[in-house]
Amino acid sequence: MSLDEAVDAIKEGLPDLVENVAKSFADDARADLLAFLADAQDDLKRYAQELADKKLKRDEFEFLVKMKAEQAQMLAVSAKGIARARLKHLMDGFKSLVIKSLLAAI
Amino acid sequence: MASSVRRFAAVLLPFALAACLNYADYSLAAYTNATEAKAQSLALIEKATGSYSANRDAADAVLLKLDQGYEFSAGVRDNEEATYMWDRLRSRSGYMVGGFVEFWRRERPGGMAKDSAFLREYRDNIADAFDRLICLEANKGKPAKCPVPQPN
Repeated sequence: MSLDEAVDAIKEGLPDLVENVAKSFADDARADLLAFLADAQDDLKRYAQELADKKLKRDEFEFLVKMKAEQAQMLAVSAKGIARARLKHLMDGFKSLVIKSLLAAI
Repeated sequence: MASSVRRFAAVLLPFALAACLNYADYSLAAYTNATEAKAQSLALIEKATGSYSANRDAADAVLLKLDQGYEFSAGVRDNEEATYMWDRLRSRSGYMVGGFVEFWRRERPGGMAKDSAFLREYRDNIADAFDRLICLEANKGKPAKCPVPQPN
């Protein structure tokens, strides 16, 4: 295999790599954020109802609402960390693809 | 010649990029810290139906576990997100485990009702918060789907 062929092999391998690592993250993150928002909306409505029904005291209600905001912040930070981890996986996969293709060209 | 140089540069590009994209490696110890802290925190919540003074040692043990998790995480390079999450979980002035212990100690020292809606809601939320951290640690090893939050 020539160097040109090796570079072509790298180009051919890239879409699968990006699909498996990067696109799956975007899909997962989107689903995760939407699910959190939907759950948070339901939770906050339920807390308000439980407060009205006197199942929650005022300080408990406030604690849970503030906790929900902190959860949202943790979700965002977690998503950022997972994005960094997936990017690292992507680059590691890219490096492996390059090395494998170049070794085949030698 | 110029074409060969460009191709050589292109081949080196991922290595140069990878050097800029460092991130903490997967660590079984970090993953275990998170799963153990989750289990211990959930067990502590069950004790919150009793008085704080009777459960002070259990509460202190969980807070120590969270401090250890934070210190371990902070000692790992390129690990800011997990470290932030540990810090929120342990913070006495926040609303996660450390904040819950403070709330118990200051506001409900005699304990909370067994059928407390607050404890039920709190337990679900804290389990979700730990799951986020556990998912982040798992993703350092290989891409993994985060658990979608469970309906209450």
